Amino acid sequence: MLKQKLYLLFCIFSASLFAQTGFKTVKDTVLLKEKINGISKETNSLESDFTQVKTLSMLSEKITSKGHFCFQKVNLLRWEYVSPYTYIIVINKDKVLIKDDSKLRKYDMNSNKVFKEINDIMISCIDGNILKSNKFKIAYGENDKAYRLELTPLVKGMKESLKKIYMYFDKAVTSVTKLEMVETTDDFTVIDFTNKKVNGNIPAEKFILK
Amino acid sequence: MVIFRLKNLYLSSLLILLTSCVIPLKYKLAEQRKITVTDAQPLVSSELSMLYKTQIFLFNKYYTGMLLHKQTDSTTSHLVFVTELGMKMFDIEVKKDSLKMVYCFAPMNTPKITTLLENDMGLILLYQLLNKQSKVYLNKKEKKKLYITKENNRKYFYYTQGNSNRIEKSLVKGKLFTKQKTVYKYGLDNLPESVSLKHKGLLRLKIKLNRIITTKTNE
Repeated sequence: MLKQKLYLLFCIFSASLFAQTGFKTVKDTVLLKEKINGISKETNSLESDFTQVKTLSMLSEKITSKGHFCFQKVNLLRWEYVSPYTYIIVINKDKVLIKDDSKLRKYDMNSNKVFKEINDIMISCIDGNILKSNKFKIAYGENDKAYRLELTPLVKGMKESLKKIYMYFDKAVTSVTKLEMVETTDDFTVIDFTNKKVNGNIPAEKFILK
Repeated sequence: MVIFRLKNLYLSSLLILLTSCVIPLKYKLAEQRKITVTDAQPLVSSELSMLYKTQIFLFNKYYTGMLLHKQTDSTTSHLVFVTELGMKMFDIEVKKDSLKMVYCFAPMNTPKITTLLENDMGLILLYQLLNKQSKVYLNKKEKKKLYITKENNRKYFYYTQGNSNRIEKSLVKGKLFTKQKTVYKYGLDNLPESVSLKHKGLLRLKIKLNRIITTKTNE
């Protein structure tokens, strides 16, 4: 019985150690930064499906949402959730448009600090501009399959809510494959992007809601 | 014209004043006792996690997302509101006798808002009814019950759905006016499918909950 317990403890310890050391520090950060900056310059539009899993750590509960995502330079964003219910949020320059239950709501981005902050983070993560931001301390990691950027918020207002943001890139550094946001309460949200289409033609109507 | 309007205003105010504190005529006082779960069904399940599509209109702001209720141990559960984009907005710890805001997203985290949310979530969960001394009124014709409790100069009116122990409507009345109204609609499993709460007066708050039938991915 004792042996079993010790074995279990060993397994847990090994698993957590592997999780922590799964990514080693990138030696040539200059090259990686150049590649990410390249994404920022070359990506004019991005379209993909996404799966978002919110993990509420204390409750051991996961909430999964799925949908379609579109981004177009400059500052056009559309999150279309299809599961567990339909919900569309469009950010068109400084306007926030939300379609929910076939009702349309419009907001001015500057009137809502929360929207503005979330939008700034999302867009800068996707287009790679987050590297130029002075709002985060950035650590660069890699393993066989991916690069990982660990962003630690530095500014007041963000530090209180977000502990870390992790951005994952494929090894060819073509675009963000996964985004993970860890809150100060240790709850975290993981967004996986799949079926990506870079620089495809996205109709302008996608960023207009009526 | 002005005098006519003023008269109308006085009359309608008087009418509101008279009707706000009155028990409907169809209901007759039957007894006074402590209300238990056999009289009024709790709105959350201790075995199931429940997820609601949620709309909150708070003062001039509008928030949407999902409200999750989950039991964490035999005496504690949590109500967590998460936006569609995954940001946790608040987490209320629910104990047998109290609700406590344990986390509130910075822009919402003011004493006025947290107290308001704690009180209103308590109202939705029937905190002012369950395990409280109540006057029990009966409407024999429609086979309905009305429970009335009192707390801090407020009266809480709870109407049952027919002869069942499901609450279909609750009203909170102050000295003069009705302050809050909550309406519940139930699904086939007897758990609330939708809940809507509306504040009247200065505190502008509306909460709308619509149950999301959990699939495997949300379990």
